[in-house]
Amino acid sequence: MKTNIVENFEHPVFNPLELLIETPAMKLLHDQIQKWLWTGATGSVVKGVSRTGKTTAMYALGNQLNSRNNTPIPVHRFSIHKRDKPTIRSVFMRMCNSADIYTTPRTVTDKLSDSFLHYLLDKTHEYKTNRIVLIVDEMQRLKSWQFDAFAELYDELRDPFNVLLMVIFIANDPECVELIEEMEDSTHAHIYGRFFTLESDFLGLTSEKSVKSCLCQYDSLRFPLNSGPTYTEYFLPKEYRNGWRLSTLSRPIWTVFREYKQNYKLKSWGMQYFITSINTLLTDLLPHYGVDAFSEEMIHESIKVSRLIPSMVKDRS
Amino acid sequence: MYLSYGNALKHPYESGYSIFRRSIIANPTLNLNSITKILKTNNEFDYSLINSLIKRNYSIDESKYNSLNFPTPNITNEPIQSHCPICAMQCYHSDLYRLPWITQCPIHKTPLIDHCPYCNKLWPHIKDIAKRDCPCCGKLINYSKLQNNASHKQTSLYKPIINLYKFIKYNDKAEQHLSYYGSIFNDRDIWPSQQNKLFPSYQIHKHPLYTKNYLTKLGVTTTNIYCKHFKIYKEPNTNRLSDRDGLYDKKYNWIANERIKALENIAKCIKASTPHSHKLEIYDFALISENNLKDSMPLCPYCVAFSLWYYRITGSPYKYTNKTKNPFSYLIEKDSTYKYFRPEPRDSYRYKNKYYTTSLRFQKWLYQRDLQSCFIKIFNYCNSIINSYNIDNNFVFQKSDIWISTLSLFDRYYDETIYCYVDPDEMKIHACFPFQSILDRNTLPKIKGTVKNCNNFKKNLKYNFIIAALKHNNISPPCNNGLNHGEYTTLLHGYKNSLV
Repeated sequence: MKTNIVENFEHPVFNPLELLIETPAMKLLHDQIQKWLWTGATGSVVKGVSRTGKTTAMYALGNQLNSRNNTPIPVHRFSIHKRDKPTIRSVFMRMCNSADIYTTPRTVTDKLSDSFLHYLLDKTHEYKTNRIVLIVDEMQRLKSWQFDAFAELYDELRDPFNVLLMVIFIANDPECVELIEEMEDSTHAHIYGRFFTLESDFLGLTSEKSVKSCLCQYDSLRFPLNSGPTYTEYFLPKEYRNGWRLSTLSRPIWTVFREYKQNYKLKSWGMQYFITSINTLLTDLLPHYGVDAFSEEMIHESIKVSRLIPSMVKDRS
Repeated sequence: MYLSYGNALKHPYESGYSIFRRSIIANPTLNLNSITKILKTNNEFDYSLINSLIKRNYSIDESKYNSLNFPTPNITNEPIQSHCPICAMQCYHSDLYRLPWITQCPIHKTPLIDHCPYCNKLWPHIKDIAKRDCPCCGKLINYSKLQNNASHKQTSLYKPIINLYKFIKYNDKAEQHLSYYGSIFNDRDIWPSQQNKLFPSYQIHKHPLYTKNYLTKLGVTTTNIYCKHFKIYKEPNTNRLSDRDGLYDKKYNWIANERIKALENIAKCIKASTPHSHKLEIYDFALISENNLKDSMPLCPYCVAFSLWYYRITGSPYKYTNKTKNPFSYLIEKDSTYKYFRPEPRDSYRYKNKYYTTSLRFQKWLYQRDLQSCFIKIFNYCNSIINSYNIDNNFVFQKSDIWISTLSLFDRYYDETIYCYVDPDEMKIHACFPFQSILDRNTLPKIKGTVKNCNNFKKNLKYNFIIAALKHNNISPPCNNGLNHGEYTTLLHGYKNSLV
């Protein structure tokens, strides 16, 4: 069995980018954005501690956003990179690159802006809608003046094209606070009013219920898709056939994590740490020692492997 | 690499020119070579960049386009002569603007002009758009000047364009067009194409819905169309001779009289346009060489045209040796296919393997108009040649130039303004025409210095070529072909009378 596991590295459990476990926070975020869209919001900030799964949650949104009349709304995502010279041009350049628009180092800002504008307009035309969502990851890397690029896009789309742009900024919680405070200044009122009036905190797992919800997906998701065994069955076939399910461990797992939560004053369990912990448990510890030998020690070991403690300690300090 | 088609600037009923321009505007970081490269890499490169762009553009929502009956854009490299400046600012162009009878924008009611009001240059050729930095006609666009998307995509704004397309497309399938050679064709030679300035005048005549006032509002000017009805008869014998075989049979003995009538009419009109001292005479221009022309130019366009018409109508086509140096020889000589390029009576037509004969009244009426029309065209041609000589002061007509310019004349030696269609059920021909008379006292222009030029020319030639064909036995007399002796004498007599 172990040989099989080693051979089959295509399994999503071994590929973090392939493994998508939906959390209640994701659903909450989806509903929140949907609500903003339906109420005509022009922008918002979603902030959260790093490694909580904000980016994954945004990618999971996919093309699931709809208008009130159930028309799909196009979404374009890109992340901000840090540059030596943080300029408006560099933002447009990043936008164009993310859309695979041809650019050269000499391309002027106007051309970059026009190209990306037409890219967004093409998307709205393709979806036959007058709304479009722009998701900007790693907002904390932006400087206050660079937000004018988004304001320009918003204005150009609004008139004469009658397209309403909604920009969702994803930011790391402690790092973005300073930037947001800077934007509150009256000199940035036109930016703040457009994009910063709505805020949402993105959290990882916050309860036993949410942990159980995630574990249940290990018991139900299959690889290969639809035809293959469930993730749990794949690694623990005998136990799975005997009726054992990973979700039964939700209470002890949460109990152990709660200790860390209290000790280190964590708001939630970041998804990356949770997934790494569960994957370690599922692929190594439980097959090796057996389900019957399960103990809180295994959970401690898994959490240790996920490197939650050093990263959080560093953050909180 | 992403290629945008500028769909935000998409308009209904836009032309290929419009699609091309918005593709250029929407990809400011790309030059034409890069666009071509992208299209090539996507294996969608056809014979031209424009065609590929249009094809790709339409493939996005082809079903939508089809449902709206959007016309296929005209893929052409021809430069645009007229354009609406407001439409240009909106990055819109319609193929309708290429039509000569549309002089104002149907949407904005502004006159169509031949240059961009912003950069004061002629509207760019399709390949030059990317080179021009102009928000009105080039690769840039002023977004603040764009009409709001919500309104400019409304079909109601483009309703005039849609209605004009409907107007053009209208065709009464029941009618049968009478062709030049007597057979029925769907598109009669005489029927004006959309490019003809008379097209809307004819179309409105038969269109059941569109009124003249409505078209005027859209910037289309129309002239009154007159209508005549003639009877037709079924021919019992289907094994008849072709038109050409029977053309100069005895039953056409009336054509000499019609020619004389036309000749008199033309002479009267020339007289009305020239001073009293001007003496209209016929020259044999076939014998004129380049030297004669150089020595005795400028010519009198009235005498030249009249003489050429006379030979064209009455004479046998000559075979000349010095034609390369004579700009008029192509008008007199028969071409390589030995066709007689002159008006001929039209007496019958064929429909569903049955022959119908037109009434003699129709044949005479139509023939008379064709003769006059023929003269007007020869006169215009001669006048342009003589004018071009006067400007350049050097007679340097090349053979090819003459040949090309006369080619179009050969095909139009009949009155192309008449539109005839046949109704076999009513046994009638309906003839529609815009002018009651195509040749009257005001038709020909009054040209300054006519008498002086005419007298100088005659003096230099020493009257050697005046009616030369009638004087010398070694040259085929111009009147014997197609006419018997009596008709020949009548024509000659009538001609002489008309000049007295």
